[in-house]
Amino acid sequence: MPDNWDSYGGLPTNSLSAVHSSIFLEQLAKTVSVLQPMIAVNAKGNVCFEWDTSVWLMTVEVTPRGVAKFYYECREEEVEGSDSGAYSTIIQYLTRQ
Amino acid sequence: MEPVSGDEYILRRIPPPRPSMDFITQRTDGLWRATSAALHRREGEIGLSCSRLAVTSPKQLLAQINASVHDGWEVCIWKVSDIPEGLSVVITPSSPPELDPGHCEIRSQNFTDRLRFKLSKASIVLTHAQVESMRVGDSADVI
Repeated sequence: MPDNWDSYGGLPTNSLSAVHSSIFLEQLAKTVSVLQPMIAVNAKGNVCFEWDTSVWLMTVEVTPRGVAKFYYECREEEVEGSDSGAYSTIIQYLTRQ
Repeated sequence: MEPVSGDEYILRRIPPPRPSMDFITQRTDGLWRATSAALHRREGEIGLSCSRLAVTSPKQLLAQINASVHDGWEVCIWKVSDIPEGLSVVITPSSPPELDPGHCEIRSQNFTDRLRFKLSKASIVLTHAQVESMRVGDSADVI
């Protein structure tokens, strides 16, 4: 992504965020039945993921340090948090029935 | 900071699609919305830049950066009264001020991921015909 790609001063893709996003995706790929997310870069250059089903939704932003900041919503339940390492908390939400 | 009235509409540019990048997605009602990634602020930025339809038309908003829908750019819109609770819209000058006379910002004391997602859910991406035809001061009730 070039500098100012969003016309509001958005930063280019942060390479460290991209690397950690690959690790995040590898962890997801190990888990069956995870829906394919929407992927985009945000104005900070961090890679973001978004799932929006008719039942639940989740957004994840992967920082250059590999921390995944997430928001999960399912009916009345709303959870904000952060995860790292094996990203097991996020995977737990993504695979809930 | 002067707040923008609840009956006004505000606009924001959405960049063209890129391989494997999703800046817009379809809503359950068939309309399109911005993804939450398209609504992040930069580090240290106080508010999310937008423009008032009362002052700037969608076509003018794209023309400010020499862009149009033909280049793949989109424009999303909110009615200010539909902006989720916890967020406010205030009139702020652009830099330079003459760049966008209708400049405003969506602000919050705590712009959480939850609020960002609810903001993205409330957005509507204008059709290209709407971008071309919508005029300054339109009510946007055609959406």
